[in-house]
Amino acid sequence: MREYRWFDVPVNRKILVAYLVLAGLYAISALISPSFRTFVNFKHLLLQTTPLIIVGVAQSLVMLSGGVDLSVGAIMSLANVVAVQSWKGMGNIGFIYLFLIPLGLGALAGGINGLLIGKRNLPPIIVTLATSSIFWGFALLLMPTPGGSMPPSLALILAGGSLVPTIIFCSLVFLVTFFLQFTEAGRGIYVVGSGEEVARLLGINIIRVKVYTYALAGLITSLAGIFMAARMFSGDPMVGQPYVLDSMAVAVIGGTSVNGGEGGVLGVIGAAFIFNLLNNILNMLGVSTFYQFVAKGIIVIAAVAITQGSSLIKDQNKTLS
Amino acid sequence: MPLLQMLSITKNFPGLRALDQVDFSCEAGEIHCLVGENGAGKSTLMKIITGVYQPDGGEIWLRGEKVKIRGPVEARRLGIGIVFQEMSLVPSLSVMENIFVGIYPKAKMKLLDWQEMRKKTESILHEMGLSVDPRCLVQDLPLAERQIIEISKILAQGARLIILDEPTAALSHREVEKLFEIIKKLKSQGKAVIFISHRLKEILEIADLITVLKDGKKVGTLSKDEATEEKLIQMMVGRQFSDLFPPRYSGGCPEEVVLKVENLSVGNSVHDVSFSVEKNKILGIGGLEGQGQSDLLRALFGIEKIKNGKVILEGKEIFVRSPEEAKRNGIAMVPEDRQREGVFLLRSVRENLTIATLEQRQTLSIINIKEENKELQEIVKELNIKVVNSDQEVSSLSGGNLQKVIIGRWLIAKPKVFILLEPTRGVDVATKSQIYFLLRRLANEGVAIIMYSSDMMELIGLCDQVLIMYEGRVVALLEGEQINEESIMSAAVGRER
Repeated sequence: MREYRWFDVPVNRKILVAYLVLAGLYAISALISPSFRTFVNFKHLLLQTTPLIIVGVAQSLVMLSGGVDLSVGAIMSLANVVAVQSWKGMGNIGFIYLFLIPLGLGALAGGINGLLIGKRNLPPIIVTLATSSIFWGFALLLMPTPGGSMPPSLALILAGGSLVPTIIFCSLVFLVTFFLQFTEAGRGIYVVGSGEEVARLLGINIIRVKVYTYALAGLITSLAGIFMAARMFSGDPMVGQPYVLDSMAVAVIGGTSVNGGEGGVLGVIGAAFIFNLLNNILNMLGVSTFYQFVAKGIIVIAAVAITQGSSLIKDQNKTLS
Repeated sequence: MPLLQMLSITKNFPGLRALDQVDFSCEAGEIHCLVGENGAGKSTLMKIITGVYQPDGGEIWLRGEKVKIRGPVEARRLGIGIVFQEMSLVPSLSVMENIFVGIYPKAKMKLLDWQEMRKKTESILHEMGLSVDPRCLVQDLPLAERQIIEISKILAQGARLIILDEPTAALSHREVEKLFEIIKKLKSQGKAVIFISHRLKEILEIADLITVLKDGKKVGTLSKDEATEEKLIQMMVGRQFSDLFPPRYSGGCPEEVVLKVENLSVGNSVHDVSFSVEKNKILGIGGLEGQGQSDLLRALFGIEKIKNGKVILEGKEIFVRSPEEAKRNGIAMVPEDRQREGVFLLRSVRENLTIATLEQRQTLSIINIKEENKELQEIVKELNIKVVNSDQEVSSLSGGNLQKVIIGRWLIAKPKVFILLEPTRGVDVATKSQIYFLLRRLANEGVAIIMYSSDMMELIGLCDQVLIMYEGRVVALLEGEQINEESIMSAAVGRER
């Protein structure tokens, strides 16, 4: 049995599942609801899904290394509030600060996560849960209530239409996939995620891998924070809250195994859209939010069962007969 | 000039001298086997060569130069590669990636060149005689192939001294032959191979030189021509081969039948099998591998489903549909795959020993610790299980001791029928003997023992009756004098007597 390959480059087969389901759902919703077929709805869906895709990519990276990042919501919020404040009074150069400072902060925050997890060998769940508190504390400190603003022209460019966000998340997924498949550093994440003991025997510096994995995740997450600032045209310290669990679901549905070492980010786009599409359809049909939550949960369980179920069969030694 | 020379190596651990002035050398193009009981020092010596441990005394010379091997990475750089029993492959990655981890072929700008990786892997695998797609995931491959990939990996990393630690422990005869072909090829390429094993027959087949360690000291080195199984055992254990086995049943007249199996069929692998086990006797099941022996025994314990037939225990027909029911009927089983099916690796020795009989020591669901301690002490002493204390992790035990824990667990349950699958696989000679004596004692106490073994000498030495299976059917039932190599072999390959 081989995994699907594109010119010998490893490509995970499970992402096909995500996109097939997505296509199916899209077709169904287009048939069911006339208001769904409008461009306005499409644009709205796209803008809503963009941050989820970005955070999903970050979470996938972390999961590939065998860990999990519960602080994505906090980093996103921190980046968000910093973005709306950092450009004030800086004139034209402010645009650069608006990007560089939150991104740098995100990378730093992630780096701290990676260092604690890698050097001290602490369980990622506990560490990121704790840092989540810390980072959120800082976010609330900087901005206790929603406020601030963004240069209007920039906000319009980033989140006004549907083209720019699409370029953003597509190039993100492309770049990260490229990193994961074509660089030694990227493959290192898979090796560490697949078996730390083995990785150590092979002479791989596990601490270094974890630090750059979580730092990269933090960097990407802050991009989502900046995007949300553009979209909402203001800062909100709680902006990242719904994204923590959702990012994990999206990573898993997108084909990444929770145990690490398997998967990728190519399926994240499809997974995120499935997620939000469901909400979208149910809204169109006038279904109450309660049922939306229930549906979401069921979808996640189903997706995990499908994508993770096959790995149970593989763990058997066969002998040549 | 020898490739590797280890002179007067000494290694101490708290309370134990693991190696005492051991000399060991190996030439290029030589296949050198290392044998000895568990605890004799074989793995310690290998860990020193691979840089995991540092010797307390002695020198290591490599290709005529004195070296200090400070760690596994340095060992690898010096051209020393080792393949352990626990594989060091990454299961979710492809074959080619596993071989080239850390030494990826790169294209411009330091980007991985997957095509080149695949091509190189193809040629390496071709040389090994393995026709596997390099893009295949390692987790989808059987154990024997994974082993060959591990060897390929260390070769790709430039190993000239290849150490194999118990490589044949879990392989079938055909797979072993294939491995030997590869080893011979390595020899012809001028590489040196060090081979650690308990399987003396195989060692005699493949080795150029055999070194025997005992209690941390080197007993001697025999060449291919000098070595015989008898000599090796004597060097390893200090006893004769014939002493390894307890005397067989000497009763003469047939005893009362404890377990009777009539026309049993299991799935597609066992057809219409009938036999009976008499009290005080040990029944062995033999034949070529994969002829239905394991499935037959697993069905008796309720793991596999019985399609047809009857099982009669002490005169009454029983239905064993699950291990729980088996246990309730007094049937115990020691499984084939020790590590995966036999023990709870992360739990303590105590927990592993007592798990089968917890309900015997409970009042109102609370376990009586004093009673448990007493039982534990008794069984550890009886079986001579080498433990520091009963709360240590069971994963720290050697193969032989682990097996004793598994056997011990069921002994406490005092079964009527004791089923064992490959009970001494991967166990050192001295412990094997202990287990044989133990089984005989159990038989004398009235337990019906059925064991499946692929080791012919074991069946001959220990069993009172031997059943040979071929393609799921019983082709021969041998007793007493009839149990010898010739009749077992001819029955095993299907020739009816």
